[in-house]
Amino acid sequence: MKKISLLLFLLLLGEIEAYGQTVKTISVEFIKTVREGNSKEVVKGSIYYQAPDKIILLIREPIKQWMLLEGKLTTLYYPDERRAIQITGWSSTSLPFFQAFLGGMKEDYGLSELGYKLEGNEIKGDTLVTHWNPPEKLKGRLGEITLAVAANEIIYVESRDPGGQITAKVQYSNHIQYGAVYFPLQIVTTRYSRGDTTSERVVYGEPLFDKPLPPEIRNFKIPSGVKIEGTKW
Amino acid sequence: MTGIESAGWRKPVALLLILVIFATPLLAQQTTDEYLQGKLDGERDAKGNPLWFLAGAGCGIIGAGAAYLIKPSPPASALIGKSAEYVLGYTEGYKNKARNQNTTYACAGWAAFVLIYAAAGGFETTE
Repeated sequence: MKKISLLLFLLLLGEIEAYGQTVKTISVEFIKTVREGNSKEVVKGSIYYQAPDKIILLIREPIKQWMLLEGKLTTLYYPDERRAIQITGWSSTSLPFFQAFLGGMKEDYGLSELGYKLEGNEIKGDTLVTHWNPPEKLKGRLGEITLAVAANEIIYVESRDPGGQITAKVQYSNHIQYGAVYFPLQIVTTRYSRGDTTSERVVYGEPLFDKPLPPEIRNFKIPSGVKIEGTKW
Repeated sequence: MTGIESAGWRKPVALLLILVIFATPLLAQQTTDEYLQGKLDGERDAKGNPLWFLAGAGCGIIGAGAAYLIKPSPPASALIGKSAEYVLGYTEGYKNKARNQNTTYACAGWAAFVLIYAAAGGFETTE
């Protein structure tokens, strides 16, 4: 079975999956632009990934911010203000836009083990298009997922609601290959809801795979003397 | 020191004090605005988890109580590049709204269970 993306499913469920051991570490720059109505937000920074589930973001614009995601714990640190917030949730936290980048690492993207069933497929030129139905218990909430892959590169993913309306479309481009995995360096996500459309474009650059993470990233801790706020539940 | 020389420092200090007096409430207002915006966004994004419907149907009133006690986690992606005040507001708004949604789903599941049980004659007693 060709590799297909789990990313949109994870986006909808908001759960992070443990990724395979294909790549141990990743460092990459990113620019994320979100447009909703007349508003536009741009975030620039670096992302560091350490298998299986540790992600650290170093945000430079619009604000200096560290974000550490590990299991159920989310830590935010503002170095200019010497202020930190920790959020301990009851489930692992998610970062959909980066999961979209990592998605190619997981064999079969875990769709089958999550209960998704392959409904059918078709070939359009050099593109394989597959259609997946959600697990029974989620059919009232989620509709079909359509995935398109060409030459082992994911091209687009569409999600639908139970009524068949498209709720989101993710388009992947500018892939870079590392080993057997193809990582998209540009991901555009368009989400549709009643009377509203949101567009998110993420451009990745300078990716490094399986290189040692910088010491300040590997050993990141909230400096002593910084007051930690937040919620634990 | 002459009167003119001694008064030379007073003007910049006075200007500084004026700036502080006018700037402080503006900064405080901006902080409050960010918290409120975060809270509104958190409430908007918290749609609840319909799987709590199953919890209510499965264990009745216990499920509804558990839904209220467990606070759903806000999505980290919504907090990227946001100020600390916005983050605090967002988590508060998301937590409270999602908790209410989950309790609603759990109670709906419990109500459905009761109706089905009653329809099947489960509440009838024999004397």
